Amino acid sequence: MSESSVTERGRELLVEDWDILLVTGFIIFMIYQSMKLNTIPRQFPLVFLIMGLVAMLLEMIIRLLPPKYGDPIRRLTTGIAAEMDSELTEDEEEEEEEGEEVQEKRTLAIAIGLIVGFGVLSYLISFLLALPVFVACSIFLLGEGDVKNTILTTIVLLLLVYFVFGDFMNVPIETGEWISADDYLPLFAGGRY
Amino acid sequence: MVSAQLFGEALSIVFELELLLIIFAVSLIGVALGALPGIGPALAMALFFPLTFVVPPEQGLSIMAVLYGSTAYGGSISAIIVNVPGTGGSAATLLDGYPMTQRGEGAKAIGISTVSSFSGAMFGLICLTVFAPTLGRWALGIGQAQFFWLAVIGLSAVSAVSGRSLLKSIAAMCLGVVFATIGMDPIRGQERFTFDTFYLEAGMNLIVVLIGIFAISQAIAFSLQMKQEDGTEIAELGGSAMSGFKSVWNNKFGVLRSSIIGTAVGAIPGAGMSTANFLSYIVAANTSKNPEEFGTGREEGLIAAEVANNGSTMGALIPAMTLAIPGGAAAAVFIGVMLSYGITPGPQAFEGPLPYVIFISIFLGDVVFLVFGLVAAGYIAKIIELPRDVLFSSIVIFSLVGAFAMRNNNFDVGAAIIFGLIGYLLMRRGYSIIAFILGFILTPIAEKGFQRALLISDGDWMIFFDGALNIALFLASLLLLSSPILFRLYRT
Repeated sequence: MSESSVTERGRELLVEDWDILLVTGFIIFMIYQSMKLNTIPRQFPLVFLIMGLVAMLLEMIIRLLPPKYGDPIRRLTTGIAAEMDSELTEDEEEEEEEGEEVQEKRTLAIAIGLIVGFGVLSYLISFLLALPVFVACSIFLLGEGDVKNTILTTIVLLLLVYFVFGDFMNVPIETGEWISADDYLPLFAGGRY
Repeated sequence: MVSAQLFGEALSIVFELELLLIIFAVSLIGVALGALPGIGPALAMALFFPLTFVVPPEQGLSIMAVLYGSTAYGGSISAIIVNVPGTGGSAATLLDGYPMTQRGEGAKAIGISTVSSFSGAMFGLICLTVFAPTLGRWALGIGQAQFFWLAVIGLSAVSAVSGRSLLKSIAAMCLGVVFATIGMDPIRGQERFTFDTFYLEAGMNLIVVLIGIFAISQAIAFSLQMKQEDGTEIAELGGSAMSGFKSVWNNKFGVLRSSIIGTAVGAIPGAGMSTANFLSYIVAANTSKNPEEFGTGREEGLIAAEVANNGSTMGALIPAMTLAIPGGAAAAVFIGVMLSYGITPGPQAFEGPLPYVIFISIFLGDVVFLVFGLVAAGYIAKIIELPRDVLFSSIVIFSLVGAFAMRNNNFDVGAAIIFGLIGYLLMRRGYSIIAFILGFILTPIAEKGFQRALLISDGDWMIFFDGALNIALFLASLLLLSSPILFRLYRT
């Protein structure tokens, strides 16, 4: 790491290490919330919140220190597991850095969108009906878009979810906010519903 | 001492057709899941967690214990066949396993790995059977302050699981603690951090958090690997799997040494399978007459790595079942399952035939993976060819339906998604999600001990430093937490 001024390191902290500020902010907010509680219920979480705050402040200080002082401390506080893993994953990390960041962000947004979408859809039209939509969208938007795969995966997952959760665990997977089992299941469930 | 009567009762419970079929199926599913790169024991156990609601504790805990062992073994299959470890605990396995496949001895490598895994698991199981009940009885005599310190030792394991930054992992553990304290305070019943929300009054549900943190976050991570890893092709497996027996027998002293290393490392809070796997491999290489041949397809290397990682799974269950100190993420999930059944790790876990049911189930589960590993590992390995998009859909669907299944509450689905995003962000930014889970799972035990001790002492904090045992436990937790720093200071 090259020598840089405190201002530059501060900017780096804001732009690249935003997570540290976010976590610190959240911990401070929770400390403030815990101060509203009675002494006994707040003691336990407060001890750990303060510990977390100290850890985050130290992390911040290490990043703001000139590399001459900061880097040795950072090495000292690196997990042993990371050292073991780094030998094996070094090449992968390099590859990742070289990859297209925009494409990665797009894929990430689609994946998160699909998961949230499935959550919302399952609430509205039930898990059983949301499942084929989700599988098709996932395979076409994230994967190879193979039709045979889509059909096979949908059938296998539908059967598994239906028998494991619906039949064995009696979870109402066939009912949503907008649609109930009576609307569609009697067609092929022999009036069981 | 093993009670013959309880052991007999346990046998009669296990040898009912229903549980036998469950063990058989779970062991096979565990091997298959373990073989899928990215799905480790913790994620597999999180996915199976919702299914345990509908079965009694003996069956639920047996399912989890069998799954733990078989997933750990399954990781070696992909390491040997496609040079990608199925679990972190098989990372050292590929160093000698894959070169064997490349020179046409894939089936032999699988055979060695299967027999080694079984041997390591058996040694660990014997240790678990002998030491766990003794430790459990010892736990009967300890007080509330000591219970608190034992849980703190478990939390200090964060130092062993931390990734790039110990400080970030400590913060992640603290976040886990804070999320676990949402809801009612365990002694006085006062609401904490609920923000006047009805949903938060009951607290954050363990299963929802586990599903979010392990499964959803991993599914998001899978979405980024789709293009990279699709099209994995399985090499032809040469040699005979049965010759694995002979190879392992010829290395019996190495097997014993690696079993001891694996079980001991597994029992160390936070050390886990990866450490056991690597440490055993390094020791085997350093004590070998031909260390330069390690990494080129040497059988001793494969045996050392595989014996140790399966031994470590059993080792991890010793402190988990007796003192609520998890050896790793999967052991933490196991503690979570115990707590969800209302069983507090410690003396309560050793009442009646329950522990023996678990031990016998683990044994049978291991026999299943031994047989199928030798006979059909090549077929199980086909699962590695499963496209990532299919895997992504399957994990998300099972996770979210599982989160919903617990209370038939759609808010749980939303919470699982939110925790998935939190987990992914933590992972991406270098915070340990295992540290978060340790904080979340151990908080109820730590806080109960903490508050009860303060009630007994009338609010005097000195109760936590009263007596030699309290001070020893406090120092042990401090030592464990600062171990990476001390280790580096010692080295320099």
